[in-house]
Amino acid sequence: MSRLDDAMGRLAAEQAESGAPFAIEQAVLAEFDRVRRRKRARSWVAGAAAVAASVTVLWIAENRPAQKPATPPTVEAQAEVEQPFVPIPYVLPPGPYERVEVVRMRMPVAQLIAAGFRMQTADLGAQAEADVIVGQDGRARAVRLISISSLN
Amino acid sequence: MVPQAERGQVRNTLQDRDLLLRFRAGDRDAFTAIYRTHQAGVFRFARSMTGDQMKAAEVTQDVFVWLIHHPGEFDPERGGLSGLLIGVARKFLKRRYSQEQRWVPLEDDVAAPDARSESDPDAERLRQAIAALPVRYREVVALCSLEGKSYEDAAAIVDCAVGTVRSRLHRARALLARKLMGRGCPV
Repeated sequence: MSRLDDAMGRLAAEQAESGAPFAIEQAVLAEFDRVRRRKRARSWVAGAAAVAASVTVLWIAENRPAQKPATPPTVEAQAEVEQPFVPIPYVLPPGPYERVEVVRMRMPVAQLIAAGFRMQTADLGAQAEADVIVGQDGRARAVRLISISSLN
Repeated sequence: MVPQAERGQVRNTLQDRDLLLRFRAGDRDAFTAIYRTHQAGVFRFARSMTGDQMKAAEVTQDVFVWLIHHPGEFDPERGGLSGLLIGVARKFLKRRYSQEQRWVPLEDDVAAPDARSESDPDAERLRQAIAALPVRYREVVALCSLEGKSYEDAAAIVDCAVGTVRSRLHRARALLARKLMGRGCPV
């Protein structure tokens, strides 16, 4: 068997130098990049969808005040803080390390509708109180609705 | 005292585990390091099994693309990453065999020789003899005799008992010796 062992040893040594062509590495890394991009996009969409869903639920709840039992003011204040910000449609979200400011302001509901939000109020003259995220460039990026006060 | 080979294996497993954690977090450099560490072993195994560089390259690609899509499959308790990847390569090869059996190859495909050095006729004869072995013998020869895997590692990859690996290897060597003797190559 010694000659078989010798030949096996030489074959193993000859094969030890071999490896997959470089094109395979490029193809595999391209697939890695593609999957990573898709995962990032998917997580961003899922986050945005979750925010949109929770905002919709809150707005629906807000538009049915008569059915809700009265709650003490402290609880209201806490719920107010937990409301998520909604990205303004067609505006890029702030970058991961961008410094932003949160500004509380009052604005007409018509302005929010003009910005692309769907508001469930018939009174276009109503005033909305909201927290607005303002980016470093001074542009509003997202809005958190606090309350709507109708003039009627 | 822990043997040096065993210590090296433990170090490799720890390194693989660290790289995999980073790869799962989306670290491209970690994945590149995993690929560069393990691609040659997977490629050589696939080449020994298929006798064809192109097919071996395709299988290697399939294995690492599989790893990208299944980053959580590696369990260090069940063996090293190298064993897992070769095990995956084995499954891809099995699938390929069953697909190939449905088709009749063209004459050009049958005759297409693999690019190899002709400097060592004994090694070349041995390569041909290995390629002609039944799959169950070919894989233990590729793993134990050519890749230098232990019987335990080979048994984990082939998913059988260590004794089965030993007996298959013994039988494979006897077949190889007979084939080489029949071709005028005394062994």
